[in-house]
Amino acid sequence: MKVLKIGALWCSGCLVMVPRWKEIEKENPWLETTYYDYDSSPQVVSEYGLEEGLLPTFIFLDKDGVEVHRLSGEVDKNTLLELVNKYRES
Amino acid sequence: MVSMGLLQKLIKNTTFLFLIWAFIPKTYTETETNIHLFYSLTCGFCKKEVLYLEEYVKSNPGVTVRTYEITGNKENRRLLSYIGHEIGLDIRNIPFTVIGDEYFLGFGEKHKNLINEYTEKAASDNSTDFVENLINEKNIKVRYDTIKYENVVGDTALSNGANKDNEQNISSGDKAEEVKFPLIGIVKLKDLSLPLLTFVIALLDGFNPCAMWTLLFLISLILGMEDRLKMWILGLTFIIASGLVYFLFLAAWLNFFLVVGFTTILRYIIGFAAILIGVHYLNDYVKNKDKGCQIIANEKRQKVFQKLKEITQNKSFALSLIGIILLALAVNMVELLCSAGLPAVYTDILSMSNLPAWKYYSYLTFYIIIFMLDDIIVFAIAMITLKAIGIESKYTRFSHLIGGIIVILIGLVLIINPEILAL
Repeated sequence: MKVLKIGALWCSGCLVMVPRWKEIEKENPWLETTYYDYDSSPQVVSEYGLEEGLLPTFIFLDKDGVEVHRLSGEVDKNTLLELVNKYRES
Repeated sequence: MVSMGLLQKLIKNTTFLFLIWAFIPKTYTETETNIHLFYSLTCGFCKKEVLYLEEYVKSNPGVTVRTYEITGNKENRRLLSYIGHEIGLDIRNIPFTVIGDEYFLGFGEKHKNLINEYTEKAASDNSTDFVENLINEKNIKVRYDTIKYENVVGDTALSNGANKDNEQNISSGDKAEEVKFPLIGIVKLKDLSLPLLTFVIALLDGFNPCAMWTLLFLISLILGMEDRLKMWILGLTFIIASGLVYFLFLAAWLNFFLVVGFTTILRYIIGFAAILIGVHYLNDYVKNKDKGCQIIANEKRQKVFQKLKEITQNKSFALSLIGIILLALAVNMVELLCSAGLPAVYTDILSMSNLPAWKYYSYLTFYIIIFMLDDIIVFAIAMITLKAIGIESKYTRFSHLIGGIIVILIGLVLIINPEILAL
C-alpha cells in the first residue's frame, strides 16, 4: 500500500499533520508515503479531483495504485495508524 | 412704660421665632431648581450620575431632577438637538446636564462640584430654566422621569418618578445586572467587564489558523534566508502592518457608533447581527468536524505567493520592507470585507462605555494584540525553531463554541436589556 499526502505551504492544518506522519513513518518503516504540494502538483490535484474541499488530504492506495480510502483535515494519529494497519496487506 | 414692655416682649418673641427658624431645616420651597439630565440606558456614567443625584436631592429638597432617556425617545433626542443648536455645541456624548442656563458633559468628581455650584447659582439669582423654556417655546412633547426629595427619601428614586411610564428605568438594583435565559439560567453579565469582553471577542475574531495563509506563505519564504534579523524584521513588519489595517477598521466602526450610536434601531440591528454571527460560529463548530482548511481561490493565492516571492528576494532591503507593508495592507483590506460582524458588535458595545478617547484607543490596541496573537505565536515559534508550525483547528472549534454562545448572549442583551452592557 501507499499513502499520498497532499498539503500546502499556506495550510495550517497541513503543518499540524507533518509531525504526526513523521512519527507514523518512523514507527512503520515499511510504509510508503509521498507528499505533494497542492500548488506545485496540479496533475495530482486534477487526477484525484482535489480542486475543491479541505486540506490536507490523505489518499490510501492499494498495491495496484487503486484508491481504497481518503481522509481530509486534521486526523489524529490513532485513526491513521488503524487505517495503515487495515490496508497494510492490500 | 407700657410701650417699653411691649417692645421688650416683641424683641423677646422675635428672637425666639428667629432661633426657631434658624434650626428648622430649610425646605427651599421658595426656590425650586430643576436639574435636567439627558441619559441613555446603556451608559455607565449616566447611571453613576443618577445615583449621585438621588443622594443629592436628599440634602437639597428644593431640587428636582428630570431625567430624559434619549435612546428610545425621539422627542427627547429632538430636545437635546435643539439645546445643542442653541448653545452651539454638537452634543454627541452623554450624560449631558443642564442646570438653569449652565450645562456640562459627562460625569465625574469635578462635575459634582459643578452640580452644587450651578444649582446654588440657579436658586440664588433665579436664573431662567433654559431647558424648560425651550420645551415650551418649541412645543416639544418630551417624556421624563423625576427624582425629588419626597420620592427619594425612604424609597428608590426613579421608580417613583412622576412620569412612571417608562418600563426600562435606569435604577441600579441587583436584578438589573442579571438576565435570565432559557436553558442557561441567570447570567450576571456585569461580571463580563470590558477588558474580558475585549479579550473574548478579539480572540474569537482573530483565532483562525486557516486565515493566516499569507503569513504561512511568508514564513515558508523567509525561513530560507540567512540573515535572522531580516527574517524577524520582515515578518514583524507584516504582522504590525496587518494589525494596523484592522485597527483603523475598528476605529472607523467606533467613530461611526460614537456619532450615530443613540438610536434604538441601530441597537436592534447590531443585536440581531450578533445573534446571526453567534449562530454562524456554532454552526461552524457543529459542521467543521474534519478540522481542515478550505481550499482558497487558486488565482488569488498564486498572485499573493508570487508577490511575496518577489518581495523577499529583492536585493534592496528597504524595497522589501515597503513591499511587505503594501502587500499586508492590500491583503488585509480585502479580508476586511468578510469580517465586519464582530468588530461592529464590539465597537458598538465599546461606544456605550463613555470613555475618554485615549481609553477607547487603548481598548482597540488591546483588541488588536489579542486578534493577532495566533499570528505572533506562529511567527515567533517559526523564527526560533526555524520550522513552520500550524495551530490545531480543534482550538478554533472550541473558541467558536464558547465565542458563539457569548456573542449570542450579547445580541440578546442588546435587544432585551442593553442597560447591562453599560460596563
